[in-house]
Amino acid sequence: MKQGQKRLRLWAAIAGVLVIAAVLLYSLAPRQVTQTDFDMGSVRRLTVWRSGNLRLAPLPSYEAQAAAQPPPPPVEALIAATGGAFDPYIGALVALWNIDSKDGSPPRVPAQAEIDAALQERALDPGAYGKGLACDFVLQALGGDRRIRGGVLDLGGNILTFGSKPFGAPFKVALRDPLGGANDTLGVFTLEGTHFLSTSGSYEKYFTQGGVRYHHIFDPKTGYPAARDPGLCSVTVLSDSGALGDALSTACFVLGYAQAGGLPWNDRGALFLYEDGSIKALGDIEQMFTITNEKYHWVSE
Amino acid sequence: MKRGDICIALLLLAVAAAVLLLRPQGKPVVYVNGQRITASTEINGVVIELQNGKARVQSSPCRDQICVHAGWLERPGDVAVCLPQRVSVEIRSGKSAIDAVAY
Ligand SMILES: [Zn+2]
Repeated sequence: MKQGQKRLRLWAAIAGVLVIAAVLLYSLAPRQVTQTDFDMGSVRRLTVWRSGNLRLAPLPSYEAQAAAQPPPPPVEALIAATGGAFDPYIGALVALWNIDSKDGSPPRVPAQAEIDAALQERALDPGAYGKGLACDFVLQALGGDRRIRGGVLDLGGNILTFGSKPFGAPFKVALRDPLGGANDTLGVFTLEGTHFLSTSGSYEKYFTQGGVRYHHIFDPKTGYPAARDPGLCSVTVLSDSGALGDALSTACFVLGYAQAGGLPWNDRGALFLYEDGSIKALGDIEQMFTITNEKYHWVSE
Repeated sequence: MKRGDICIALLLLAVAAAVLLLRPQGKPVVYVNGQRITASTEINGVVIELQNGKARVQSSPCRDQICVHAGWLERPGDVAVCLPQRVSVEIRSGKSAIDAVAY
């Protein structure tokens, strides 16, 4: 056999191995599947990276399940830990202010006597932890499926990440700019593994009366929208539990930065955003968050 | 090495480079309620307009009009959601750097 033919065969073999390797790598790499639907008045978007030909079944209404349950023990414990600044049993107060205006009638500022009466009632409003608890349910439902390598759930802005993305890439979760337009963001979280992100902000739902803005997160001590930390725009909590993280974001918003620091802080951290663009961090969150919007800057205290 | 070997090696490199570079670069794609759309459409009374790879909610019977005010969506990750009419419009890209937006 001629020398040239041998060489040619060698090269053909190398090329063949390369092609087979490429095809294997491509077919074994987890595929991305995304599903969008609506549940209990919010948009739900689930992306998973899965091996094989798994189809995503529509998720049941975990939000309805979460709303039908009493608060889980860690959430219940937060009532005492915050000295009542967090309290899911203010359903009567929430209904009185009617900021959701679910019945179609406009919201209004109630009289003090009405507020006092509503604060005496103990009616459960799962709004402060329900979406987070629903995230916990989704994680339970999907976590056992070994074909699913990882995923991202967006439940009306509450984000759950779990598992991992192909080739070990981290999850990138942007944070919406509360002072900007619908598609403006202010920074990005870089996350690996299981995390919950929950945000409570004064900009989501509010109404204006007599030139004053009334938002939807109430201080159970006053019966009025929370205002202990002037200029506070929103709080984003990074947690390993959906229900607790969701509840903590509400608790932190009501308490404000100074008082929230006194919480028995066993979660990953929280970002406090202010109207002047300053951001204060609590716990271990700064290294996971990069500011990408020049309106915002870190402030340390 | 002979000249022929170098030629084959370069050819292999070129093929590998072409495979890497010509992978679908994630051209922006418009999704409505999780389904890909390629032309203007209407769903639940919400009129969605497509133009030069951009998309917007042109009109909606909803009361709040939040979806309409979202304006033109062009970057991957941009979304317009109409909760009353249960419609979401989003721009996605195969290589989008962002997995989700928290709010
Ligand atoms: Zn709308």
